[in-house]
This record gives sequence, structure tokens and C-alpha cells, in this order.
Amino acid sequence: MKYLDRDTLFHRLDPRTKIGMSLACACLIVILEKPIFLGLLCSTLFIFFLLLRPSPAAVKITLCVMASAFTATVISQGVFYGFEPRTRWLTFISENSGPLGHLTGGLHLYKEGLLYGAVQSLRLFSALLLSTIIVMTTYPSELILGLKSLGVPDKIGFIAMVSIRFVPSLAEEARRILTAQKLRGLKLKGIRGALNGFRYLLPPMIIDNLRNARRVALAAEVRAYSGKRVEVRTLRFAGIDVWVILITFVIVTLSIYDRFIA
Amino acid sequence: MNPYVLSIVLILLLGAVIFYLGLKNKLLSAFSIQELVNIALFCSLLYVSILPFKLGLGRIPFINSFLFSIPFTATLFIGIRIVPKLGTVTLIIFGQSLLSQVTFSGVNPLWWPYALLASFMLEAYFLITGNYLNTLINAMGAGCLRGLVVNLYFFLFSAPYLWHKFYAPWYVFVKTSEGIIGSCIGAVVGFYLSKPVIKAYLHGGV
Repeated sequence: MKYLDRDTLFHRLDPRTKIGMSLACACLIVILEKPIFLGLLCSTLFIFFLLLRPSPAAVKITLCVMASAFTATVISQGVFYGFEPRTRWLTFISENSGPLGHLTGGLHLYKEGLLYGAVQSLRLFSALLLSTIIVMTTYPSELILGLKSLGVPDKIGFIAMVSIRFVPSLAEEARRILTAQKLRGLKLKGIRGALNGFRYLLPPMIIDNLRNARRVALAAEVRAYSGKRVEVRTLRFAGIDVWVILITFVIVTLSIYDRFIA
Repeated sequence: MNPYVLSIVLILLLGAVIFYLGLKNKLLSAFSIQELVNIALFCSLLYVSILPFKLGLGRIPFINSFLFSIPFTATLFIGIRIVPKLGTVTLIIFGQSLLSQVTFSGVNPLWWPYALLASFMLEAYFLITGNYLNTLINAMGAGCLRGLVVNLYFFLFSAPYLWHKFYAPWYVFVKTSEGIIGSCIGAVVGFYLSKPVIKAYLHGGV
């Protein structure tokens, strides 16, 4: 997923509000237990995602990721479901089928486990959808600015900013080195080829980029960079941010009340 | 108290103890701009090295944690050998986690304890051994520890208390063993690949 240039409500929100929403969503994922509430959280986030008017390709990718997470969760929980009562639906390995059966205690697919997995995958969907919404509506630099203004140390912000700068050059560099190594006779097919590729790619790529890193550090030092940056853009809360924070706070408080007090 | 919340408190406490001990024993020194940029480079390298797993390879059932651990540990350990200081592991792992969240998966605090635990355990290991991967045995020990801690934390705390998912003990054992073996192989690979890199860094005019 990448940034989507649109003018929606989510695009206008302050990055700090989005980080706050992310934190609230993390709390809700832990707190909520009733399937109805989990379903409500997940469907609300899915509606928000569709309100961003994503491209059909983006919707397809999101649905594919959700489908694979759903399948993995349903199957794993169908097999590993431990609560009682449980009804056996299928038997993969019987308890009496030799050492494998003895070791695993039998491998069965439970009907209740499949349902449990389906409900629990709503937690994964919620985390995934909110993450997608944030990535699609916020520039990485704005998120880092938001994190810094929320108290993340300047040096960690600096590391995050510089590492973003390195990513495209690393991909380009890797392609260049692999082409050069292939011209020298490196074969990349199979597991042995992949291991050889890793062995012949990593050292030259790191050495070359350490040289680049020295140049970046020198450029920062000659500008008397001490770890503290003067930001060109400053963040400011708007009325909509206050409302979103207030609504999020109320939802989290009600969830805590429902789970622990009511 | 929910065991997951308790685990977060314990992780933060562990971090506080490590950095307090580092400060007390004068092992914690400030990072130069050059070191910070090198750390940023390794954050990007870690991000790039695990990108194939985010884009589908991670869905390979059963052996995904083995496959994932090799490039991750190898790249991480080369980074630690380039900047062998208290705090490097935390900055590289947390920086990579932040980079991945900011550019790919969105800021999600649910993953922070996982990254912090992996880094604090390695910091503690280096603090106790007083050795920053200078020997192969030390590197293999660190690799095994990383594999053990991250997999056990996921299966014993994150999965049951956060995602409400349960796994059979034999499955947890198999996945943790895979993670340990993968991390150990990654540690050996990283140790050997770091030799030419360190030579070039120290004597090759890099």
C-alpha cells in the first residue's frame, strides 16, 4: 500500500490524531471480546477504507491479504481449538497412527474451532484495515513528525528519516550488483542459487552503502547537525481532530466499561 | 492483570535495568552522526531483506519462521558488528520496525513490545558476555537467544492474549525450534559475511 493523493476526511486529520486512533484501535483489539463488537469495529474500518475511494487494485490486494489471514486463522484455530465442548469434523492424524499420532496427540479439525477462528480473524482485519488507512492517507515524513511531536526522541526520528532515504537506493543498488554478478557467471536458480545470491550480494551492497552513509553523515556534520531539527512544517490540531479524539476516547471508555465493569 | 499487559511492563522494566546498568558502568556513550547514519542504513537493509516475506513468502506454511530468521539475523548481526555499542540493537530493531510501520503497515503499537523484547534480550546478552559478536560462538549464542525469545513471546503471550489464538504445544515447539535454527544459521552467515565488510570499513577507505 502507498500514499493515495485524495482530499478526504482522513487526509485532513493531523498525524497525531491518526497515531492516537491507532493506539485506541490496539486497545480495542485487546479489550473487545464479543463477536458483535469486533464485527462492528471491523466493518466500520472497512467503510472508512472504502470512503478513501481506493483503486480497484488496492481493494483487491486488501481483500487478498484479508482472505489469506482469514484462511490461516480459521484452519489453525480449527485444528488447535482447545475449549470444550468441541466436535470433531475431520481427522488428519489419528491418536493411534504411529509416532506422529503419539507425538501430536492426534490432529483433528473441530467445528467450534473453525467458528472461533472466523471470529478472531476480525481482530487481524481491524489492525490491517486501520494500518492501511493510515498508510494511504499520510506521508511517512508526516507520521515521523507526528511521532516526534508525541515524544519519540529526535535521534530515532533522524534514523527513521534517513532509513527512508536509503530504501530506494538499496533496491537500485541490489539490482545493479546482481546484474554484475550474473555477468560474472552467478546462477540464482534453486536454494543453492538463492544462498549464493545472498552471499555475493550483501557484502558489496553494504560496503557501497557505507560509503554513501559516510557522505550523508558528512553532509549533516558540516551543517552543524546535532540531532535536533528545525521543522519547516509544524503540526496543528483542527476542530475535526478534537472531535475524532473525543469520539475515539468515548468508544474506548465504553469498551473498558463493558468488559471490566458492567 | 492480563499476562500480555504484565509482559509489556516486564519488557519496559528490563529495558530500564539494562540502560541503567549501562549508564552506571559507563558503557552507554552518545552515538556520533556517522554511527546514527550507519544504524539507519542497517534499518533499511533489514527492511529490504524481509520485504519478500511481507509480499507473500511469509505465507509459506510451517517453514516461514525458519526462512524469515536467516536474512533477518544475518543482516542484523553485520550491523551490530559495524557499530558494537550498547543501544545499537535497540536502535536497529526499533528503527526497522518504525520504518516498516511508517512506509508499509501503518503505525501499530501492538508490534512495539515484540521489537523491544527482541532488542533488550540481545542488549542484555551483550552486556553479560561483554562481547559484541567477536567470536562465532558468541554470535551463535545470540542467534539462538533471539530465535528462542521472539518465538516464545509470540506463541506464549501475543498469540493467546492479544490475538486470542491458540496453538498445540508440539506446534509451538516445532516453530520455536525452526526459529532458533534459522536464527543460528543467520548468525553464522552474518558473522562470516561481516568480515569483508569490517575490513573494508576499517581499512578500505569506506
